Amino acid sequence: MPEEKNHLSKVLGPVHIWALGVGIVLVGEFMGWNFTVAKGGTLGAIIACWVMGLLYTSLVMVNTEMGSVIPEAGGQYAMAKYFMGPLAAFNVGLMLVFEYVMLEAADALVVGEILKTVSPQINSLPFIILTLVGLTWLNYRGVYATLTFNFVITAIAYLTIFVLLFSTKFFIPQSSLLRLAEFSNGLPFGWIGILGAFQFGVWFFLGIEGTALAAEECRSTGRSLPVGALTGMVTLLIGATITWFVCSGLVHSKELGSSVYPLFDAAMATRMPVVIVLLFIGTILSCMASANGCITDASRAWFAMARDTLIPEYFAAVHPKYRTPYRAILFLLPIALAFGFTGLLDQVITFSILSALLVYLFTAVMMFKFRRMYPLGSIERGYLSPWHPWTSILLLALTLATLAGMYFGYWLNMLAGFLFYILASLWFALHRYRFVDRKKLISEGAAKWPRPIGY
Amino acid sequence: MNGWQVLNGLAWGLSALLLALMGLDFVRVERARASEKKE
Repeated sequence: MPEEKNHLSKVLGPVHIWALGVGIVLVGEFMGWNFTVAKGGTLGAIIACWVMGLLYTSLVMVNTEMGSVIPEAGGQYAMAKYFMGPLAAFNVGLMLVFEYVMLEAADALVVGEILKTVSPQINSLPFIILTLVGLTWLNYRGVYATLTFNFVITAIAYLTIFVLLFSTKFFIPQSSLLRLAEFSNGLPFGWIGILGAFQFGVWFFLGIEGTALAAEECRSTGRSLPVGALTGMVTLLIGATITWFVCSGLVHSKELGSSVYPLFDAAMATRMPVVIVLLFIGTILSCMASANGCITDASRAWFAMARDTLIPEYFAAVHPKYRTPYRAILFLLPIALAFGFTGLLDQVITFSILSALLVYLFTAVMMFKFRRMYPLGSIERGYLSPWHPWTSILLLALTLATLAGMYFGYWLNMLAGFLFYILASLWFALHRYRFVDRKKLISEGAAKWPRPIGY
Repeated sequence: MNGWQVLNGLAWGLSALLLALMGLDFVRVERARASEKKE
């Protein structure tokens, strides 16, 4: 197959990259983050939110510098193949696929569950399937329409948080609905509670790193990726803080710590029908935006691995008309459906988060190697991450702290996850590696860049 | 049949339609690719 036939279309701008990153993450502000309140209390939740904000700001900066140099599908996978070799690249690619496919399955399940709350006569099953099939169809038809759609639904969902904020009249102390001092429980478990809250604090931002996976499809990677990813991070920091502020002021910490839909519950507390309906719509749209972005990212990781021969090349085909990795997109649909119907939502999400955290560890190590192999001035960078190596050290330290917090509640899941990736690595090293075309793997970068230092 | 059941049916129908559309296109593309390879 000629080389140019195997490349995706370059149609995306910064807005699409913003929509991809924020779209995947925003669902975490509508649900999931509030378990930080159960672990660390109201104050612990906001401390965990901002500490995780530091982790993700570091991650986005590190990721964006490397991503702006490597305009290839697969994001962190593509970085790993250049800076860490085929085995690490295979693991990172697999982790990305599992992170996003499992998150996509969980999002679709939640859409079904939310619709069921409208009437017990609604059957959630066809709506779960419709969500997954509909968004897969959109992805199949082209990335431009997919991410334009994601921009619209993400922006609507994000704006509903502001509607909720202003509906509380927080700016008029006499008539404000917020009772933060009364509903807050401070730091009931002290500093150890904050450590425990980290694993749920990631919900505020988990997935923003997915912006790098669409690097190949940007019209100008050096501009779109930094602008889209960094504005996305700012958007999320503002959204996360407002979410904590509104929910903590409207819902008592006892209920907030165990709520399934915290923003929706906060809307219910305002007793304003318009706000309640808007937050209901926002919750559904945020789930759909997340699932949509996850399909885009998972398929790009799978496609990139196949194109580099780490998995069968069959999945590297590009649709002749829509220029999408159509085989990879369709292949991952039944897998997402299968994860969705295990009924183990908690386990599926934990495995997704574990996979993401492992990718962050790899990313920090890759950044050290990248700066050593290609020091400043040796190649053109679209974005320069400030404060190196402190951003990578912070990323490494906070990811390890989050994994430590996760260990207390989910050690068995973590053990199973590690075992899975060790077995996958063994399969790759003992069986698949002989089919890998090592020259083809790094040919694109090797043609563009000078020989790295030390090689 | 009430409104909710109609809605459930619509969701099933739409899912089937989209799957069929993707399936048909997939078959068309694979056939074209196979004949291209033969040539």
